[in-house]
Amino acid sequence: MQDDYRIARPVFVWILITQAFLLLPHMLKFPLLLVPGWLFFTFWRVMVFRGRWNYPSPWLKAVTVVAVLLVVSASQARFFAIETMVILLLLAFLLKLVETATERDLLVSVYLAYFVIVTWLLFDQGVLSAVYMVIALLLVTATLIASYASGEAGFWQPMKEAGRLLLFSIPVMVVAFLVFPRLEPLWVLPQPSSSGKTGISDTMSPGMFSKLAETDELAFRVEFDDRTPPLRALYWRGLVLSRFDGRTWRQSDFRQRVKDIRAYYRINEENKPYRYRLIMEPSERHWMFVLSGTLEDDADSHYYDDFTLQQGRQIDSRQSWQLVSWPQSQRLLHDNSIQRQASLQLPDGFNPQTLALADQLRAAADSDLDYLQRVLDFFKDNNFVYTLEPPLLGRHSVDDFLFGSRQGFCEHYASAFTVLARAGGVPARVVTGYQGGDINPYEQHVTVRQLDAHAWVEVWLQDKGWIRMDPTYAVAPQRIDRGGQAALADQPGYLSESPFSPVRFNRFGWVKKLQYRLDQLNYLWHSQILSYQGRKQQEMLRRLLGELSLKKLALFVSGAFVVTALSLWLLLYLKYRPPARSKAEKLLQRLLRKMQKAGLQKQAGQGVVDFCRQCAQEYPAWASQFEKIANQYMQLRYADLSPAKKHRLMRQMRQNINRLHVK
Amino acid sequence: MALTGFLDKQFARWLDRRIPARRQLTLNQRRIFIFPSRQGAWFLLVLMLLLLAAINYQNNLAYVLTFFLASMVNTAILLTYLNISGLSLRAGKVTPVYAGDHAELEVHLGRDNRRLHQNIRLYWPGNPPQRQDLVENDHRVARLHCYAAERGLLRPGRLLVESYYPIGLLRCWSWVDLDFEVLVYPRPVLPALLPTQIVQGNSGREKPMAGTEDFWGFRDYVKGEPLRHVDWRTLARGQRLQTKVYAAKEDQRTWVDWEVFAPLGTEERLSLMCGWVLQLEKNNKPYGLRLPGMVIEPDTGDKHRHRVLSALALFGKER
Repeated sequence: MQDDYRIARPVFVWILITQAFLLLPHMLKFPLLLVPGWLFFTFWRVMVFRGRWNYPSPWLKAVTVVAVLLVVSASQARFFAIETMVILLLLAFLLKLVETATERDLLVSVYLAYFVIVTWLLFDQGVLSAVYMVIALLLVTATLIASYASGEAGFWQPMKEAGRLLLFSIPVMVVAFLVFPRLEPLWVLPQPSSSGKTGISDTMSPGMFSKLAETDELAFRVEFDDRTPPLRALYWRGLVLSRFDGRTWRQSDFRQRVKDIRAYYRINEENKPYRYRLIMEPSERHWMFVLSGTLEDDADSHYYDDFTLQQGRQIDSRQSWQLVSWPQSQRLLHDNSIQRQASLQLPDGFNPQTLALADQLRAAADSDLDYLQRVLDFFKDNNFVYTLEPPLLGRHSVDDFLFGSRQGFCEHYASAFTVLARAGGVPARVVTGYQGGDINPYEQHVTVRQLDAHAWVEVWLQDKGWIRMDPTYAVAPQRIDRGGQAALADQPGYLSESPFSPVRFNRFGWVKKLQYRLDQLNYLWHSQILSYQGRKQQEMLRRLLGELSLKKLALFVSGAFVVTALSLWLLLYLKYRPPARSKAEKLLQRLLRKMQKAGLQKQAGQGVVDFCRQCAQEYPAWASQFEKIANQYMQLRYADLSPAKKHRLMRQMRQNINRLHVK
Repeated sequence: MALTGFLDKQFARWLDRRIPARRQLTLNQRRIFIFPSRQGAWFLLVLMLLLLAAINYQNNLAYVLTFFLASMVNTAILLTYLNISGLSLRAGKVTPVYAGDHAELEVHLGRDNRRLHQNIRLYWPGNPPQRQDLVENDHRVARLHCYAAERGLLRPGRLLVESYYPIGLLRCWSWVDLDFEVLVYPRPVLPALLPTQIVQGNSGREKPMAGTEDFWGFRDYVKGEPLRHVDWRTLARGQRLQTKVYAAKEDQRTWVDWEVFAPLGTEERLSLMCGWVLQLEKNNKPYGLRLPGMVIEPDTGDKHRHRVLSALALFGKER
């Protein structure tokens, strides 16, 4: 260890700034561990830098490492999860700087900093993360440069140099990104865990959907080809729940995968289909959210006879599918008795009051449809409240809701309505998914967030098949007409999990516009940059280069290197070329050549006046001549002269030089 | 060993052809070498890890980061080269030193462009590097040190000029021979006795030389005295034959004499003589030098000392 090495102050400041910035998003994600950790290690390092404390001894370092391991493993659920590894890496990064006592240590810290950038990209690859990446790259590079730069050049010079370095690195980077073959993963690594991943689950019980309205997390995006359906028609079906145990709704045991879903539809060919692209965020679940009447020609998606669509594998990364939806197509005209029977099932010994109400309404009704209408009227007429924070319900949850609290969110209405329909002999089931979304006017695309989660009902009517009914509409039509954001904005629990969400401020027009712009940017980012691989890569390269060949690719790549070199030389030529020599300078050169022949050379760093004085000493006969020349040169260089005067001076100076006869 | 020796010699010959010795030169692409530095290997490791992360997580932003860094190294090749190219070096003043000391050599750094030259390291292999910057000044004087092991004429050989700026992953360097020559005096050793004490008793050798003595007076002629001291004018006046008496100054003149240290080896003798010279110069006494085949008349002063010490330094060495 070199005892005399001390990190220079500017380098130290740069590395502290860099560390703080690198850790910023991580600190927001894991504040409990990283904020105290960062404060602690930074304080320690500053004390060492100021000479108050010594560098940690090996013993102290060992104790610190053990303490960090203990604290982290105690606080994290899974030790070998990627989150834990990242936290450990970040703390090691902080500790490494504390013990940085030599130039080599410092460089290791900086190289490690480059690796730290990527840890955040594993969690998030959005536009903001890209901005973070670029700033981090600038900061780390500036720190690296600062450790080699001269202090004379100023504190900001390393940052300028880093900017220049990275700017000229763009062409090669872009070409490498375009051309580099995307390989399959070489081995399986722990993925960022999704223990806290919100989203619709495969069951439904009271209170679950109001929880989802607390976050603005993106669920999926949809890009329509030519036209977008009206907001109120955007029912994104996810799961069909038909088994009820008195409290919780579950998927039916009788649902079956079907080979050809077309057989279950009667498609109304007169309606133009909606063609759309579904781009789902990783949900860690199998199901997709699609419009009713959706067909797709993709072997990986499985259709079920409840008209839901699933993926064979969990959706772990952003995935997209091209789909077609035929509006107003009729579903399941076949008489499928098992499904119908299952859709009439009710648990014994629950909700007696509800059953009595059903009997009463049924007796007055003359058809299934009439009966269902009466049920809806019951909701409309009895001052039901649509709220995010309904009171808790007891054992007879539907009874308590219908005759007690009368306050509920969509799952309460869907559940109660289904129970009433079944009690009245109409096959019914709960459908969960999302309703509405944000239609971005700039792109033909819809953004659907967790707060758009919704539950509604499908009933089976003779000759009509399964029909969608939404009891929430009866109570809170604004939820469907204007979307979740507008309907919920005043509710107390709304977005309580996303306190800084821009969605909050959508009531102000410009925020909404900005939000749309950001959304559009995000969409382009995801669809163009982040999913650039495989077929997309081939298409892109083909569009750029035509038919692909190794020779063309090689030329393309070397072209980037040439562009870099040329642009850099161009910059140098424009910025750093020697200043154009003035005419006075040319005359001076003439004098210098003449004196050189006589054996007198101007030394580097010697001034012109000084040199002329020296010449005058050597050749006293010409002393006054040399003095004149020096005087004229200085005037030409530094005095503010009129062009005529300048010209005259120049002529005189030339004559004076020519007249010199020195040998 | 033999092979590396051979290769070193070949490399030196190649360098001599490529970058011949000159008092002044400007670094250009003929004279500059560039290669990844040792730290570059560590960086490469980080780069490989990043690429693995990008592949295994199929993370396009990680690809961007990896390629950005790789491309940055490529750009840095040019920027590292630019930091050192255009730098001009000129051999400056050298001051003689005593063997065992570090010689100080001045190298004038300049630039013929407006580019910054940061963190240029200059040194002779085996000596600590010196950092120099040309940022605000167009001209700098680097005072470099080179260890002078033995007396004689030191040719420090090729100066290493290197730069790692901006990112340290690449090393740009040049070997320049500025044709330096430094006179190295013998290492001074102060003897216990000063020369006057020894030389004074050593009569017989110090015959007076004409013109170096002062006239003192007259006395009667004693038979056998040299006739040239007879004052013929008194004889002409008819007086007694008189002899001029001169005050001999031999006793005050000091010789630093090679023969005094006869039983010792050459270098030891020279060291002792060097020590004497310094001591005598300090006492401000005139002294002369006697070396085989060379005599320097007694005198004092810096110029004289330099003459004497140079003679000692170069004694027995080929020029």
